[in-house]
Amino acid sequence: MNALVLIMRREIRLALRQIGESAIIVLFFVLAAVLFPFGVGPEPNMLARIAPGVVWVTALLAAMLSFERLFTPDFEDGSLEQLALGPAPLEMIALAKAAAHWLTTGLPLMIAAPLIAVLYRLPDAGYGALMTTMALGTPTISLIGTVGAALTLGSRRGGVLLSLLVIPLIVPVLIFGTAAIDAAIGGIPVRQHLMLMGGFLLGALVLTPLATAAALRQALE
Amino acid sequence: MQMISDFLAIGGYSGFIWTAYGAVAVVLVGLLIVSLRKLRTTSAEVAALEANSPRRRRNNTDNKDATS
Amino acid sequence: MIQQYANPARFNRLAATLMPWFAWPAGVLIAVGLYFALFNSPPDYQQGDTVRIMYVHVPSAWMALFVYTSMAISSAVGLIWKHPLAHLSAQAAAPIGACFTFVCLLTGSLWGKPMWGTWWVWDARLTSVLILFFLYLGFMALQNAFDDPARGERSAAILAIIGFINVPIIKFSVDWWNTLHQPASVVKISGPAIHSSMLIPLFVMGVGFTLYFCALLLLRMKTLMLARRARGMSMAQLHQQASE
Repeated sequence: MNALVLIMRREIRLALRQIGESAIIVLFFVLAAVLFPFGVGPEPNMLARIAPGVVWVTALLAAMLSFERLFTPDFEDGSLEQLALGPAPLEMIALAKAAAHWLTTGLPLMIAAPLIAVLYRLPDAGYGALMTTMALGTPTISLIGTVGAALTLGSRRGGVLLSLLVIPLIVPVLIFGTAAIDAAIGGIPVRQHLMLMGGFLLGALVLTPLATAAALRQALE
Repeated sequence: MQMISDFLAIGGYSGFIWTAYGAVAVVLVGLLIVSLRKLRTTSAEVAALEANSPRRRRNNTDNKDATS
Repeated sequence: MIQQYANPARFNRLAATLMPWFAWPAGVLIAVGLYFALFNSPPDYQQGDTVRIMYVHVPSAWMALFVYTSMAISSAVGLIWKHPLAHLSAQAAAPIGACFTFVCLLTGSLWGKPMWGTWWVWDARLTSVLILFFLYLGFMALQNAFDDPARGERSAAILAIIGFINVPIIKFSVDWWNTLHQPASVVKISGPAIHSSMLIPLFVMGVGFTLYFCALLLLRMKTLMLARRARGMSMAQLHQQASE
């Protein structure tokens, strides 16, 4: 546990030093979301209708941009090998990486989400569900993306490939995230959707560190 | 008359059925052909490499013979 | 590294003995299955003649899942026991599985248009099979994305194991969610819900497709092994040239 905190602190310190990267991701999120009204027209009812989907899809795409550099700097300067040789198991390192990624990317995206929802005139009933699904979904995305980043570490065309691998695995989060917000707007109970998303998060929390560690181990072999 | 219209109704679907079977045939036979061709080019490649290396070795020995 | 893929001779002997036992029955069974499917099976009382698409659609769906399962198992064997042939078999299986999945989606679409009035619906079964297709493509892309082929195959193997989560989701999607896609009617606890005049051609096709897969798998594994050999030999010659 101590190691987890230590590694996380290191990761966050490194990420804060490059706070610009997080800012760029959030900026991309906002810009991509702002494109839709130009594409589909500014009709308010339509925008309110597509708001949950737009917020979730653009958040996913923005997150995709952030994974490529997750392990690469550490891999290239050899500090990943140092970490692997250290006392902390690789699973712990994987978890710390994902947690740091969430704090520096997922959390900013989550904070920016209601801003976009306002631009899209999301009905008031949807905000609670939006924030809850974001809170449950963005950590899941961080965890799954960490696996993708570890798998594509050192590959050619890493970024595009990573998206190709991670997007199919993230589809359930998108489906239930938007379904929950739609249900909340329609006045239908959202409990079931949220429970499922919580289940995804717990499952990812248990399984993805194992997969990430396995991928890192064979990358360092 | 009824029979003809029945036949046409099925005929309306036959386009879908034949397209489906055609697509299956194209994909499965195509994959087979591609795999066979790959096997042939790869074995030719290996054969060429194999033919290449012993000859080179023989050349080397020839050279050695010539120099000694 | 090359020496580790030892015994290509033994594999080739085995493949050569097994090949006729797969290839010929595959051809015969598929031909018989096609005859039954197209000429000698009854039209469905609800779906009419379009039900004939079932005889290619359902077996390719079975194969899509079966090939993925085999791929995930070989990947696991390759990672855990480091058996030299395991990664090779996963690598050889992936394009075949992708083709079956593609065929499954395509024929399903051609069946859906006359029956449901639409080429595509976003229901759980269709979506999860589409994801399976992307997983196959991702596997192949990841495999080829590294300069070191050994690294690529291990990375792809991990992906194959992760993606296996999708297989039970596909299998049970029609039971868990209320979908437009009809629920399973062949594999049921209470016995199959379709008549034997349809079931027999379906199984004939299914077995034919399986044997086709086995034959093609052996062929592709042999090709991959030769390609590995060619790579090793050209590397060796390069070294030799460099050292001279």
